Amino acid sequence: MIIGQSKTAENFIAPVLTFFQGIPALSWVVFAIIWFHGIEFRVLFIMVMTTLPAFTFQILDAFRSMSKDLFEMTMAFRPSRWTLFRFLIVPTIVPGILTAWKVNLGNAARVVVVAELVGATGGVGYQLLRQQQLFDMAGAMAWTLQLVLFVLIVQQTITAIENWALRYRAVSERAM
Amino acid sequence: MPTVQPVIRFQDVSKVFGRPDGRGAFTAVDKLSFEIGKGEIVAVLGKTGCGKSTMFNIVAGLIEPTSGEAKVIGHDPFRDFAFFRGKIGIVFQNDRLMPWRTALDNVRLGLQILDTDTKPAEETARRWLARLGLAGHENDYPHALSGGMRQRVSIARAFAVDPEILLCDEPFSSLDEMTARDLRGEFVRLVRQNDKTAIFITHQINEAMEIGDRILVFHRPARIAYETRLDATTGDAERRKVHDDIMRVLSLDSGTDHAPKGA
Repeated sequence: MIIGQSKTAENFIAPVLTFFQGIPALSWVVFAIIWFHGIEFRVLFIMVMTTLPAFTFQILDAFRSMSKDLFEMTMAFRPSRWTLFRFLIVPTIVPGILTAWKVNLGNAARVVVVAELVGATGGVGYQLLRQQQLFDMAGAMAWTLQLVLFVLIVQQTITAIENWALRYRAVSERAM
Repeated sequence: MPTVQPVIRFQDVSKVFGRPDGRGAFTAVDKLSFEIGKGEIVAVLGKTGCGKSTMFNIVAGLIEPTSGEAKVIGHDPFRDFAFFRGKIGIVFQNDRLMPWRTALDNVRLGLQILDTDTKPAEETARRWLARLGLAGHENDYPHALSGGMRQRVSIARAFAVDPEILLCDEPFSSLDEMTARDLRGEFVRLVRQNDKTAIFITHQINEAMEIGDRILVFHRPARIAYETRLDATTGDAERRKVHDDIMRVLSLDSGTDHAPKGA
């Protein structure tokens, strides 16, 4: 929101996020292991750092695509900043937020697995490492399927939320 | 004719826009002066790009004049932006309904922004929808409504906040003639019944003559080239003459149509 409304903030934050986008996920894993002791915090840090830039840019795009017509119409009623945010900005960026969640979910899951594999003592990544050390293919498949199932369930949940939140959209009777 | 303080007053108002490519500037409004009294319906006519919408946006407080003085209810509509909460209702050329809100919620929007309690706001919104023939469509989303119905919702939205001034920017131009005629009649009736002051922008002479107590014809950049008054006593012959005069004045507008979109 701040980046969308302030050119100064954009000039300051956008290059940083672009720079972060260039840092490989594995580098964040190494940084997290060196910087932090808490395993849960390491995983959280890695997940945030790898998904934040794309998430921010996607929501920023949604914010910028806000209809000028609707903005002027709403401004004609002289709303407070909070009212404008609640009645116009939030509904405008909701589709972008949902898309960002869907796109980033798979990436985040993959990165977290790598993080757990390298720097954790629990989680799917750690279990996969154990199965590799035990040469247990069935165990590796089971943990992989568990992760896939988790991602599918979250994807379906987001899709259900999306279908509800965007129920106002017109749907053509003719299929593509 | 207004004997009291005018509700809307422009004094030598000009608006100059920089061109998008940064080369030079474009004058959309050029030393425009006029006054509109309480209860008047003023139709503003002009060719596309003549600055009607710029004048409209200045009155609405959405843009600031480059020079001159614009006063609405004695206040600067751009600088005293918050003063006009609930005082100005706008019907735009396109309906500008929020697609994620039902018809009822779209009409309620202004009332919600004005912090009206939920129950009275809903009752008011329902009443206005019913007055505009949309009872039974309260829970329809905009995509499920026809163009005429959507424009009715936007009119209901403007009236629901009970504004002192109504601004209409070619609100019926995208509708078929029958629907537009019905809505024009409805609009004038509602404005008169509720004692509103209205500016109605149009590029159709017949529409201006049907709606306006007074007609202002703009030449490019926005300046008044012709002004006349009409009322119920104006006879057919006089109306025909006014129509011909407006046609002649419009044809004399030699300004080039190179205004940015929306000017």
